[in-house]
Amino acid sequence: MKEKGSSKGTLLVVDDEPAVILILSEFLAREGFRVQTASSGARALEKVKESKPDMVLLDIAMPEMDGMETLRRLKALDPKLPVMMITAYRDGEKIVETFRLGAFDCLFKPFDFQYLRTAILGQLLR
Amino acid sequence: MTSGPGKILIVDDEKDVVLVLGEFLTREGFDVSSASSGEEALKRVRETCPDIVLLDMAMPGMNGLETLPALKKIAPQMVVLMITAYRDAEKVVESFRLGASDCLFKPFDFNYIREILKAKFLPVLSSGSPGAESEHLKKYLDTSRYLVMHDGLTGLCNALGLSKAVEQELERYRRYQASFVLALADLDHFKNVNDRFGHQAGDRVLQEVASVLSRSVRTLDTVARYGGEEFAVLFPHTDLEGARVACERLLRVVRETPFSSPSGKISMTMSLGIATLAHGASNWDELVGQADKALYRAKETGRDRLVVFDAAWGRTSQQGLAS
Repeated sequence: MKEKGSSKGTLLVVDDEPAVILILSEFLAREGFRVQTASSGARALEKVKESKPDMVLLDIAMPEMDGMETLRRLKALDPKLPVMMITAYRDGEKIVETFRLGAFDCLFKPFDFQYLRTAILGQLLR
Repeated sequence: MTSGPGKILIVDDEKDVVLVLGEFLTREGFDVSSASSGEEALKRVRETCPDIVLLDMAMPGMNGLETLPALKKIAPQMVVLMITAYRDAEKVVESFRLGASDCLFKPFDFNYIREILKAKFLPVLSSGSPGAESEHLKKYLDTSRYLVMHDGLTGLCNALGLSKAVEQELERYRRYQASFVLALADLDHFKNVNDRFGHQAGDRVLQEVASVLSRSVRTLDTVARYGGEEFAVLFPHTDLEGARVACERLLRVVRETPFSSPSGKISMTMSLGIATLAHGASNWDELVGQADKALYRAKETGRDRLVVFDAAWGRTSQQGLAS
């Protein structure tokens, strides 16, 4: 069961870099979201099955199962689950591919936190 | 049953791209038109309401990322696919955020384009998951509603669409006392154009007038084709003086615009009748009746002018209109 409270929703942050997880978790928690984290694509899939987050923030470049493959599998599990990609690389073609697979947005590193806040709220309020 | 060919508008300043894509899509059975700039694209979309727009990102003047939100404002349901030769990740993301449905890189992957156009963006009614079906049904209903409310020749609202818009304004007036103005316009001696050059040439002039009027009003004003050569403009949130200024401008713009004909440019004028709620009109029929009387006066008193409806005519109409 999800804890009820003042939470605006539960977000799952998926990245193999602990520093990114830390920064995003802190920011999102301060913004009033419940935050879950996963350090790999495989763990992300488990978490989604277990606890049904409201949204996923997903790094594109991860070892083993990368963000693209994770996205594909997440969408197979739940086509309506909103997924925002995270990336440090300005690879236009790869990013278009994530939109084609159903991601709704893509956030570049270093993060624009103000935009992130607006985009998450905009998506959750849909 | 399949739907008719989808209408696709290609927007690119490079002629080769328009040619190559145009040929491919025509061969695939689509109804293809093109525009060479963002500005032209907006005009085309207003006139022809395509199902899908292929929009180049890098164009001189209004570029793709500037054109995209303007297109979406005119037709929120329309599918827009970006075209770009640059793999600029930030621009790509920006275009999706602004409502693009996909991004196609040059050189084109024609198999992919065929697949997404046919499988994803123009699904037939009977196919797909229940979700896709209701999505398509919604689009179909949107299109039907659009066709019922709009004029096929000019893409403007038709009389029914206009009456709905006026009813909405009347409701707003009852609730918030938001005043609005209705103007009926009739092209002067338009019959001469048809008689002299034929109906096709006449239709062309009507399209050009439609586009001139649309360009000369505010975005929140509604321009409609009311009947044959009769147009109408609904000015919401406007008082009589504001509308009078706007209508004087419309008269001038039409008077000064050279219109096309088979024997070169011709000039046209129009007459305008204006009605407000000042004389007690409480529904669409009464209001349009008053505007029509005013328009009749404008014709009677020499054309190329505007006349505002006056309730005093009712009392003296016998002498007034007979003279």
